Amino acid sequence: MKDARALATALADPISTLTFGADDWTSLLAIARAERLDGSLAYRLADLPLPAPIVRTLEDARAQAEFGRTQALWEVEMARRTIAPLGIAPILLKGSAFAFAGLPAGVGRLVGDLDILVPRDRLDDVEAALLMAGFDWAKDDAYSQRYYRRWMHELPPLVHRDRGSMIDVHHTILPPTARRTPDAAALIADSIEIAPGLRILSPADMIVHAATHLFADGDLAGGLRNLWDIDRLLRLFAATPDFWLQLDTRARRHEMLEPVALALRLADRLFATPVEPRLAGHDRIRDTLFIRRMLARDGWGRPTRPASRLGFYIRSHGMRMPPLMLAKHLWTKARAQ
Amino acid sequence: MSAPTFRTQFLQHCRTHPIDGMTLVFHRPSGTTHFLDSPAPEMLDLLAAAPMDAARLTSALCARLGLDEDSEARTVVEARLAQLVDAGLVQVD
Amino acid sequence: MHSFAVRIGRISYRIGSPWAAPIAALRRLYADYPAPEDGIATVTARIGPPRPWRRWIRPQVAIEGDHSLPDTVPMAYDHALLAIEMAMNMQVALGERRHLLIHASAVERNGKALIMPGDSGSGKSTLAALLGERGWRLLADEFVMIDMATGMAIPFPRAISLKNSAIAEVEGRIADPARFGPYLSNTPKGELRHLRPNAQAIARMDEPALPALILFPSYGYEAASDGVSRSELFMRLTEGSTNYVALGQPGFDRMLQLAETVPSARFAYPDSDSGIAIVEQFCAEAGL
Repeated sequence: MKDARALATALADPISTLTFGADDWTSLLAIARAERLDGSLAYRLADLPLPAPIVRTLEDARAQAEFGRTQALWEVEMARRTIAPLGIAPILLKGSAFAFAGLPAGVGRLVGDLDILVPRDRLDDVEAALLMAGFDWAKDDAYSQRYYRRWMHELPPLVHRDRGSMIDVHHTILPPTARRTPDAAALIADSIEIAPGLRILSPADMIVHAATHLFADGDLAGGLRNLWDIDRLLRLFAATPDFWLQLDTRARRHEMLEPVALALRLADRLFATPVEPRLAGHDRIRDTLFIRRMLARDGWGRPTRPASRLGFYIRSHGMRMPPLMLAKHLWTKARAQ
Repeated sequence: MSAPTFRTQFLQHCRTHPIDGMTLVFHRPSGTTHFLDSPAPEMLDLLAAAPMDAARLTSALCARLGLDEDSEARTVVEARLAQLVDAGLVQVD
Repeated sequence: MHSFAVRIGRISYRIGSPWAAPIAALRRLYADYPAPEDGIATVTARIGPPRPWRRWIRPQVAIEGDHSLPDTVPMAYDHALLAIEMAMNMQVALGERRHLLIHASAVERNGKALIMPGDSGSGKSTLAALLGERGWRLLADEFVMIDMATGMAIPFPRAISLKNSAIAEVEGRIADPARFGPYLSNTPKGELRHLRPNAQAIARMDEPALPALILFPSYGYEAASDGVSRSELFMRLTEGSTNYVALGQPGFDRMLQLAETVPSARFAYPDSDSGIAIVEQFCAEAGL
């Protein structure tokens, strides 16, 4: 396998794996693990008649995902216990939200850090409470601390000294320096209580957030997994009558119309996700570059296409900060390595 | 302002096993394994029966262990409660 | 990529390297081992240059695979075979969840397993290698795999890592030079040479054994021994298991069963001969 296309196809169309030979399986597993999609893949292939070693491996991947889910839900609970006394109900984001709410996007998903959103004016209170509850700064160097507090949409990452788990506390979903400015107050106002003391974004906002993360919150590492999240979410939400209209409205509200449209087009191309064509818009030539970047893994699980990776890294930082700041940041980062 | 109340769902959430005079605990929600030594298991037992504040818990614990209740007892109980809260085995309201 | 596929116990590996020589050395080390089950390797271990130009310019070797840890220090090209073995270890340490892992060596006699947990320097590998040449069957050198359903020790007979003085000692007791890998100097683990387990260990790699005795060795001290309580055994075994936590309550139950039912002791020994004598004495008392 020369790229991750076979993984995308296997997820979208599990039956495509029935013709796989031994080497295909080994490569598919390596790519899936590299993309952190092995749990999701294992659920998608669960009922197929597959070779015995693969059946066992996929069982293991499902069991591992289940363990990860338990860990993630525990972190949610501990965060709730810490933050609830402040009178704040944090909004769960990404994998933890999917797991807690029992969304299809959460099935088999390996959850990393706990991501939560709180009002910006309560950030200090939340930070203080988490530090009291045993969290320490993961990056305690002065530059990182200043960078996050001044330019980013989240506190510097916190790691728990006993559990080793990490929590990212956001006050909005894109850095304030980005060219697009999502409406944090609107995200909070439209959020839904999922349990006492815990909230999630509205369905349309969840898609907007996923689209944000896909393009502006990294160099597209993990891009395939984020797009799979979007596919799973869209298939569920699109069953609601007004969903596409809501998505259009919210995407405009958050100045995210183009990224959301791009997410829809890419999900359609990679996973055949049913999308509203007027919202997705026409295919663009640049879409192919995104696809290439997202599929840039060889059959050994190694990242490939370094030129496209570097381009995306610079681009994603460019979306976060103006050019002069970007140059200074990249220089400081390079010197640190 | 009333004193904080401590409670636990220890019995529903844990598998326990006595070993060498201590108690081995597997806490399912967190997936964490704990070795507990007296008076932690007794404290959890008392809280599982009824939520209490630290003062009542100290009295009940001393009664159960047949000890005099002195100021040191309260300090020990509060310290162990803090550890149990940190570990997620006890909640405080 | 140069590639080698091999089955070791219940793990079917695919191992890759952009350099040819390390794979050739690995192939020689694992001569006579079976191919992956049903021809399908489900675990990938690999080495690679940490930066692209390090493939050719003052080559360095990074440990990679399905699972990897960030910030591991790259190794010198001369130690590539060691890096491959470490990559193979890492996949099991981070990815295995069908069997409870104990960081230990193990040998078998009459269907019963002697398990020797310990860190680098404890002597567990050397003792296992030597016992393997005097009537015991080698089960494992680094990871003992406990079947979650049955509690049996499942063989995982990887090449044994001999370090420093153990190299000459074991070389003196094994006639066949083809069983030894290349001599590696100045590795992060000292002087090192790999030893292929003997034909019996390879041929019988699918025969489990019942854990019957757990001994904690400490090499380089006056001969002495002591019992190990059940609680201490539980604690030490879980500390030395990379996947205990991931296995949840079934892992707890299985580890508890081991700690409650398998006798355990610790011993110190100044040299291999005394170590072997102490081990044989414990085994006689424990009915192995």
